[in-house]
Amino acid sequence: MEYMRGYIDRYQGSSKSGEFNWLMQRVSGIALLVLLLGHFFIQHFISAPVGGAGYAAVAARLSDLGWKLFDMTFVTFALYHGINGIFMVIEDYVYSGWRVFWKGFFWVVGVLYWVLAALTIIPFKG
Amino acid sequence: MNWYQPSASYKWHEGFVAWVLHRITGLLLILYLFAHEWVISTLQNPQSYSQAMGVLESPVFKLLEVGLWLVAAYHAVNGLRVVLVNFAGFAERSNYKTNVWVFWVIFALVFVAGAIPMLMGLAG
Repeated sequence: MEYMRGYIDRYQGSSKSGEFNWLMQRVSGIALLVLLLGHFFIQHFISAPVGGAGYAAVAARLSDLGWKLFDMTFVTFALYHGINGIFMVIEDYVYSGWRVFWKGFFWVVGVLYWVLAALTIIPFKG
Repeated sequence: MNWYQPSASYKWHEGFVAWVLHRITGLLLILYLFAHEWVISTLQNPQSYSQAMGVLESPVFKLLEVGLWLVAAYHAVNGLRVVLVNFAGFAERSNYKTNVWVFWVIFALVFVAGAIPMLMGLAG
């Protein structure tokens, strides 16, 4: 296989990025389908029509432990899915040493955004 | 232009168009998530919250919100099609193109169903 390395790097793109990430992109996608529809449905069908977009109503929801768990699950899946998607794009178009740079860059961005989400969601008291 | 020898050429068939749009909408969604998370992290008290909501409830942002729903609904519905292609035989020669068109119809229905309450909020 070693003699094919250049060919695989150049032309196979994201298809060689690993079975685990490929499968997890489907799993997290399905999870997001449920989580995002829940998020959207609550915002636009239940909360907003009764004036629930005011600070008091939103703060009450965000202080609730169950919603903190929902939001942390949501943002974790969303960041994983989004950053993993960016990795697939990088693997499809970047062949040089820049591939390592960009993947490292988005690893750091993803971790920092996850920390920002945790600091925003978990300690919130209203 | 003899020196230009592309390594691959693409027919703009149904599945390829769906794939291109999936990639574009995916990149838009992760950029939105970065912005969304950043804005929410700054809204930890009633003053900054109502200030930001004053901007976000303007008609321009309401329309952008409908645009976001368009992008998210496409990515969600087509993503489901991709999973069915991978695991449930939705990409057989006999059914592939039909399935892409069926999913366009489902996407349209999902988008309209979600856009109605958003646009009602805009009118009201």
